[in-house]
Amino acid sequence: MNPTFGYQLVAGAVSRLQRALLLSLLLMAAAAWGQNARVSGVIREAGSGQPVTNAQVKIEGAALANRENSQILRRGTPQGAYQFDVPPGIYDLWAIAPDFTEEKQEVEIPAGGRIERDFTLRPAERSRAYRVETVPLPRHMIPEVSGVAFTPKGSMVVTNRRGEVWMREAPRNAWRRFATGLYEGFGLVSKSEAEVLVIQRPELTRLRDTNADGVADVYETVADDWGITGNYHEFTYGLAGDQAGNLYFGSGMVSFGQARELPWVRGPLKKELFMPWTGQGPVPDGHRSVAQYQGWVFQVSPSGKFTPFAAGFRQPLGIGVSPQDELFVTDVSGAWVPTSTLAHVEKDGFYGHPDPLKWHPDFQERKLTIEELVRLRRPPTVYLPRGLMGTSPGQPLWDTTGGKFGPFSGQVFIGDVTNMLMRVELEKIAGVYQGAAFPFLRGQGLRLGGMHHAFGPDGALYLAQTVRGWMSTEGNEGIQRVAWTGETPLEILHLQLAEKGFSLRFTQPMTESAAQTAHYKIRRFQYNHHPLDGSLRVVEAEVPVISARLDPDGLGLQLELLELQAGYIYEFTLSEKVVSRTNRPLLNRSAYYTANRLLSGESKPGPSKIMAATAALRSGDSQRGAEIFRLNCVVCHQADGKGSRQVGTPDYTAADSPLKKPEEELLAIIANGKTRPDGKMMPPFGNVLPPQAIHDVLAYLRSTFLTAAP
Amino acid sequence: MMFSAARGPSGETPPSPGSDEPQRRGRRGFRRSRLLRTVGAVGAFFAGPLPSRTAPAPLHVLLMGPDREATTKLAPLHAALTKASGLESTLLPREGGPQASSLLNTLRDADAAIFFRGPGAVDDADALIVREFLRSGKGLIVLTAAADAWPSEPKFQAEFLGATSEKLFANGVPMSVINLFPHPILTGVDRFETNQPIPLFAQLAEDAQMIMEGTVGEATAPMAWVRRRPSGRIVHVVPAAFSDPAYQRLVVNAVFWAAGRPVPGARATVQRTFMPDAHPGAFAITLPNGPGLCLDPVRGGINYIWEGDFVDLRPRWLTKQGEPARIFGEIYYREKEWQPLRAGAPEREPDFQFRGYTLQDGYPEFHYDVGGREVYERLTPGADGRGLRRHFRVGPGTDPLWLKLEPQSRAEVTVRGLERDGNLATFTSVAGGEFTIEIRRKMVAAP
Repeated sequence: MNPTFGYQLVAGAVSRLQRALLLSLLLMAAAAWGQNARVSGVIREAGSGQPVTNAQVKIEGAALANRENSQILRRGTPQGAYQFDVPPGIYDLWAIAPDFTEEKQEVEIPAGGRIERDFTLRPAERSRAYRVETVPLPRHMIPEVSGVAFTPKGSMVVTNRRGEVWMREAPRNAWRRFATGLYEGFGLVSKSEAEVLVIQRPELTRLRDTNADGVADVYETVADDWGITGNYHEFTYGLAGDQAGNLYFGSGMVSFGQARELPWVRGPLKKELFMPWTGQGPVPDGHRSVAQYQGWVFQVSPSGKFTPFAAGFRQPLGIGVSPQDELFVTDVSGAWVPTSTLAHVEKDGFYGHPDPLKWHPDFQERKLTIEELVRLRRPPTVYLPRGLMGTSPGQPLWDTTGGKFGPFSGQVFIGDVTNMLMRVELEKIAGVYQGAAFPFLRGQGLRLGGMHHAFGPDGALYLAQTVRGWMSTEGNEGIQRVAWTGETPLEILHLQLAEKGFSLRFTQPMTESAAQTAHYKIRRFQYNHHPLDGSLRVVEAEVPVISARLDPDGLGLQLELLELQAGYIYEFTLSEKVVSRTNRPLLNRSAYYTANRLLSGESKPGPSKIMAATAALRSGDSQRGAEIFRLNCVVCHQADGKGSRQVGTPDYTAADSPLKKPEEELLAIIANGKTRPDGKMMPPFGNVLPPQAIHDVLAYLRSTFLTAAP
Repeated sequence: MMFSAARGPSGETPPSPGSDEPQRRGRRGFRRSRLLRTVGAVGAFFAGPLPSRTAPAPLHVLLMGPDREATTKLAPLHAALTKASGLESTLLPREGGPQASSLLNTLRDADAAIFFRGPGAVDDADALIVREFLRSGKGLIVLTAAADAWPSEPKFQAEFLGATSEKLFANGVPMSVINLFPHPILTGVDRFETNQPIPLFAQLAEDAQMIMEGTVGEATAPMAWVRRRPSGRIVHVVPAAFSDPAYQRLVVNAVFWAAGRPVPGARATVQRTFMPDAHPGAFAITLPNGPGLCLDPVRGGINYIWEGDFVDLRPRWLTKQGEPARIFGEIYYREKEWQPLRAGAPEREPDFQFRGYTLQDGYPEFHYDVGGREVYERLTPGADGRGLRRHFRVGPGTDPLWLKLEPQSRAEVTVRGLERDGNLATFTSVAGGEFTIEIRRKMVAAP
């Protein structure tokens, strides 16, 4: 066969105009290809230097804004190698592997650049206090297990994304398929072996087995009062019930523009953003509430009354009810959710993402201002900083086992799409919940995708795990059981706010090593609540520990800080030198405390003694700033600094150059963005560039363009 | 069924063990039945189905493999088929048998054939018989096709099977998950166990509908699929122990399905999913012997009906962004966007609320609230097993209930129990009651 035949046929079939268009597309593609940059490397084990065979590498940065969470996640090869071809930019690069500590690097990749970055991972301390086991499943159950619950009699009930409900009936523990034909089951509550409430994408359903054959024959629609479009990302999350019989669940927003447009929508459709994106380029995070009540959490009463309960969630992935019958919801980082969060959710509350407000009766006819948004927003109860605290947190679940799961009774366990479990301790300060988040388990055989879980009658934690569509499914889906072995884990048991600092309690007596202030590194920071996809830490500073008093029993510890301010997240990093009286180190040495309020009730930062530390950045580096400008700013501001009238960027070289403004004002504009009177907006770069980079780019702008200004 | 008078009960003695005679039941009358079937089929084509007077004639199925070893292995399957009600089975010996070649003529009279791996080496005359059979439109079940068992039909795999076998899947590692999709062939089959290496079949034809998949790690391999081709039905299943009752049930079901008969005990399949031309969360429903339909619980009606089997849900499941389910079969009935059931006045869009459904005796009954009136709709096959019967029960209420029908060019819609005026039908009983709608495809004579 003549190999050119096909080409000639095509060429002959298209018009001259089409050929010209094709040629320009090819040229554009070639140009774009030439712009791409590559980062690659090898992940090795510290000490042995052997490749880590089961690592995952994640690259995240503003240049990947068109991807979900601005990131790419990829598995390393069996030889430990990885490679990303990405647009030029500044990225965070993480290497993660079960049973190893996570490593993160910042990498700046110029156009056409080839950067090599290797990782060396250290083995993580393994907990002997908890055992992770895989629960055998019937071979014919597709193990995309998305929800798990137990009946009062102790039977395990699970649902999966293929739309099945299975039951492992106690006491024989034999599996049977209870129901089929659902549209992506995601969570359940089971009242008995014959009645299961399950949340599926289009509705809350009550399944009943009325003829005692072990299979549901009634599929009763309990609620379907919210909108759906068919978009892949509009998950219906839940399910949790309170003691009064109310049920809670939520609807995630669609990933707008990243899936087919659908003419068939249940309920009204509102595609426009409630708060329009006025920045340059595409909306950084396309999650949008296009169908009714997307981004809301709902309540259904025992009589079936449906109530849109609270608004402002991007992806309310985890829904849980505390033993005190209070609703808590986790949300996943993205636009208006600077990092993942756990929030105590009250009726009619607004929790951060403005787009769902388009369905609120009070706001349908008018837009909110940023000031109103800030005033209405209830801050998260606990921030779950991205990285060490996972990426997409799941259901909050209270340890109600009465000690069967170890020493953490009353605390909250949260799974994550990554292979980790978090622990949260809540306390009420001035009548409002806040608290501390700790890593709990990472690796140790723990799989990915554990977003729903339940405590079994045996006191073990059962995790429903599914990652299909997001991560490698190989060996990562199904049900795992985390059981306490009876050994007391060496952990920070409590981390609570004190008048001048924090009060800690360990699970085991510690040596005087715990009374050394030098063994505590505490940093505080905030996040930007803004429309960009996540936020970097801002106004970050180290807070000196001025005293560390260990109680005589070696369990209690009082840390006094140089300064305690409300409105910050406090990051605790304890030294490896803090050891128990049995000379063992802590299993987890990090914690994050969200201090929305102080004991005095103060909720805003006041004058600070530590500001000097914040400002202690080195002076701007013009040369480094030039590259940052080229990577991030040149498209709008032009290489000659003269800006673009069309885009609305100013001429830095003009007599009225904005670079003549005070430095603090310019730094704030770069970090926080600015909206001009004509509505055009410079997007904030505070979530993209660290403070030093902002200083550097300003140094470049002033040294290069201000000298040219008359 | 119309062929029942053509076939008499078997009076022949089962072959003795080790005999090279074909192990068969009921071969008498094959040719006569074939003639009558042809006449009957032509009659049905022009005049619609004949009324069923007696039980359907047993289906005759021929089992064969490429060699003696295969014949031996097929024995338990042959025994199971022989015991199955409504089937007659003939096991064709290969190699060493004196009459193997002439016995291939049996294929001409079979309603369906089961090939284990393939027919094996045959001479030109027998190859013609095999080829004729494959192209005759009769049912074909292949248990683990193997290219070397088709020396006379090297193109068989692509042409008939709709797939080509390559290397072993996952180096022969047993499947960690086996996914059984809803299909009549899997009626009563709630497990499929095999410890045999599975060939990796690739390049599946567009009309190959998966009914079983296996997974090892992240890799997925087809294990069973069906094809409904204009020229006949084909089933392919990977190997397992032929003595396994679950496998035997599957094969028996496959024979019924491939021959176009209802699978005994088959129930309707009901799956909420993402369907084309429907609101998200619509129902994909298939009655045991067809048709398939899309019931839209938001619109409150049947958006379309197709001739054929269940939908392929893999487009939704196996991609992150999710495509609608794929429909196999020709759509012959469609409704538009309006709400067909109305309360009060025919032009008033009523409050319509979907309330759920129940499964009774294998068929779904849906529950609606139409303007305050309770309405239940049960879906079953039409009176003679063809088409769709929608049986409505209506609770008491003062407002009349209106059914706004849409003209159909390719379907006959018969309404009983309602006052019909053109495309508008009215239910006026205050006390409640019942009505039915039957929908069946219009039979059109070939040009």
